[in-house]
Amino acid sequence: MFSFLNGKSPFDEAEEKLEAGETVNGRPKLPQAPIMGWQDGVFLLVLVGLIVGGYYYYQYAKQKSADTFAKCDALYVAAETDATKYVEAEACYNETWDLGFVSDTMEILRQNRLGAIEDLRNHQKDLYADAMGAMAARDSVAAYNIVNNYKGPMLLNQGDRKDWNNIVDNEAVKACVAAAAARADSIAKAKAVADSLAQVAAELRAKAVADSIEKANKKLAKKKRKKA
Amino acid sequence: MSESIVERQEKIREKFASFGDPDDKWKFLLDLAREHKGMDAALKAEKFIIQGCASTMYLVPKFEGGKIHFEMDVEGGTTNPLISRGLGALALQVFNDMTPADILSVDPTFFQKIGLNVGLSPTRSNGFASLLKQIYLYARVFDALSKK
Repeated sequence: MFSFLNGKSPFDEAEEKLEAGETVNGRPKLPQAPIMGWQDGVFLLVLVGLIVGGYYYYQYAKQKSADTFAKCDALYVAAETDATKYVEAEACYNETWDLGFVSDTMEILRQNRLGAIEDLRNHQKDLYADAMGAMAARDSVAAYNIVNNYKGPMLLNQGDRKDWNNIVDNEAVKACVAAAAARADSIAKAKAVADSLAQVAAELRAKAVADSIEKANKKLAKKKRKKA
Repeated sequence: MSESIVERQEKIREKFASFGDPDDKWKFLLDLAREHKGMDAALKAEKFIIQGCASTMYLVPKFEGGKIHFEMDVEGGTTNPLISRGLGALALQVFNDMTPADILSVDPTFFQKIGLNVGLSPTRSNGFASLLKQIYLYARVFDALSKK
């Protein structure tokens, strides 16, 4: 950028000098104007600073994103063997919304993994609804079994989590479950006894039938011998 | 002359057929989501929320000149549900500004057939199915009203 600090262009000055008779080799003597003023220098410096700063900020933002995503990815992969890590992975990915740089690959990973965690949450919500339904139907044993058999991560909100934990921690529910287990055990034992008695009876019946067949055969053989 | 609904479907079918990498589909949906313009906040009433979506999806219909114009937007609270928005934008690429009869003529399994559901999380699949169901429902209602 060139400026005309004295309000005149170098060509105007040259023309004036030519009129005044100042010439070099028959040509007007060109004025010794600076290439740029100090304001232009400052502007240029600021511009260069902005470009360099912007570049370094972009590199920093890119690196920060890469580091944060690597951390989240590690948590998500760990969660595949340790389900409790899903909560941490979800929190980690949710922190990435504030990052200044997110590539398409990162975005796809973030959307798909948060979606997968959301699916897990929905599955637990369904189980929660089933368990609460069972509780409402006064079937605390069924509710306990639903909650107790769930091996996935705890992804429910605070209120639902409290209800969920109440089902497994509630002493009355535990007593019901124990009573049901005892009942089931005694039923199983009684059934085992009944089964074994039935088996003995069946064996006796089979033996009696076999004996009678044998007797009949013997009788038949005797008759045949007599006839002969 | 405007594009017919069959031509629109064919374009989308071709687009999906051209995807070589599994990520291509996601990138396509992300691009659709980024290009999609949201809607006026005043239109975001509870009655326009699509039930069954993980994110809050609004679908506002406007029946004018025998065609249904849809406005769609997705809100995810602190998150940015780009895939859901992309899915919504994709549905509108087929159904927006079409007559109820056109909309009802579309095979409901079209998106499944082109492979949209592959790799899509169950929650998003269900949400998308709810969106389609709502579009068909609006089409049926406007179809009935226009015949009155």
